[in-house]
Amino acid sequence: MADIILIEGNNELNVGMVPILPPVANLYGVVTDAETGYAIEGVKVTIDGLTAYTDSLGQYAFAGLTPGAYTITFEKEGYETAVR
Amino acid sequence: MKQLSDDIVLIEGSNELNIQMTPIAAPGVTITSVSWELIDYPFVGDWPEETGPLHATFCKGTLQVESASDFVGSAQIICPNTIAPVPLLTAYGYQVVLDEIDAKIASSTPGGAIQQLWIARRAIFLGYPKVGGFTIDFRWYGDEDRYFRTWINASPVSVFTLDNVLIPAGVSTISVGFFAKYGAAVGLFPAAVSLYSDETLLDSIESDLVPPTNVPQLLGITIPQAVSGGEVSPTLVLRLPKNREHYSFNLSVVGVYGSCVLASASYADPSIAIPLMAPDRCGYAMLIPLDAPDDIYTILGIWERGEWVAAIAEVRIHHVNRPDEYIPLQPGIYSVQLRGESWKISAKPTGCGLYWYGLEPEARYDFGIVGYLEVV
Repeated sequence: MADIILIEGNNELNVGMVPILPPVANLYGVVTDAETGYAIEGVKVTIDGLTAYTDSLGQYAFAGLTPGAYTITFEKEGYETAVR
Repeated sequence: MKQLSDDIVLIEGSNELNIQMTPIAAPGVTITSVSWELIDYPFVGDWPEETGPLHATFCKGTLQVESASDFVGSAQIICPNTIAPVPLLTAYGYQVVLDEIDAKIASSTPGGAIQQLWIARRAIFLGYPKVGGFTIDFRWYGDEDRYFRTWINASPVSVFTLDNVLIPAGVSTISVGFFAKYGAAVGLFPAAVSLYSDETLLDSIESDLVPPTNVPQLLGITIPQAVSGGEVSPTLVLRLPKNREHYSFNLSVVGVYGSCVLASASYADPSIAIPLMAPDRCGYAMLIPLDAPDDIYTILGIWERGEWVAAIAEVRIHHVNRPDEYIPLQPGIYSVQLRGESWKISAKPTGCGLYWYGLEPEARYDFGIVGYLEVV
């Protein structure tokens, strides 16, 4: 029965509330050489003040981002900087 | 949230973004050869009195280059005892700097700032030294010549980068330049020059710097490994050009309280030396004639003992109003320095008067630390 019935006198009702977790976005990817297709290590990836570097497989990852629009910058000596 | 068309929009969960990066095409450049030239810096004797002589020589490298395209890059020179803090402007870089200053002048409103710009323009356009096709960039040192001497005598380093080097397409000759200590200018030592486009290494070449023909060269030195109160017999081999009339050299050990001469010698043009070496009963050190067939001279030194220095290694501290002190060198390792001077004698000395002709040395050669002596 979903209704709460109050009776004369004192009535006590305890309610447990479950918090709603904020939405979270994760970003991952691989950076490769546009000409050779090989993975590039050490690319500096910057998103909203956060920085990560690609590993030997060209992989990078950011976790716990707030969903939304971002500008992401990829920088590496000897390569044109890519901005998305 | 305003969404920009170029932005990446992350949604809840995992998002994947793969990127392909385009490599920057480096200009194809080959350095086919290099030749080095050490130029005696022309400021000695020509600068205002307060600047004194400069203890540096200008080194110029001439590169033969083949380039696939025009580009402006930089040259990095690696060489012992390079004096890096003196910026040099190539002919192209000189024009770049002038254009930058002119643009700032054109966009400035009258006032204090524009005056500084004009001073900077004058600083590189007028009255500032050009050597070997390079202009010395004085803008950062102010309008005082003596600051330059301070900079040029600053601690030497081993790497010097020359920016704004124009490399034209095809086969061409380009020059790179830097300053080195006089001490570094003598003897052979390797120098490497590399060309860069942005930070990308294009090509590199290495060769030996050859000593200039107009400054003394230190060809060799022998110093005992350690001394324990005994005599020290260093041997010093020099090649002396005959473009001065009189050279003097001192090899000294440097302690906390001063220095003590290990070996010294004076050389002079025979027209000066021979009369003085004649039996004129002068008590001065003999002048060795500058007449060796190969211009190579050997100084054989001995630790002075007698009344100057006792049987153990000591340095003399001179006092004006009381007797000199002799301070024993404590056990330890001491640096040994070589310094020289060259003189041009305007009036022929008579008798023993060579050392009192009153002229200042034309140039001083600071060879720096040439060895170490351990007192045990």
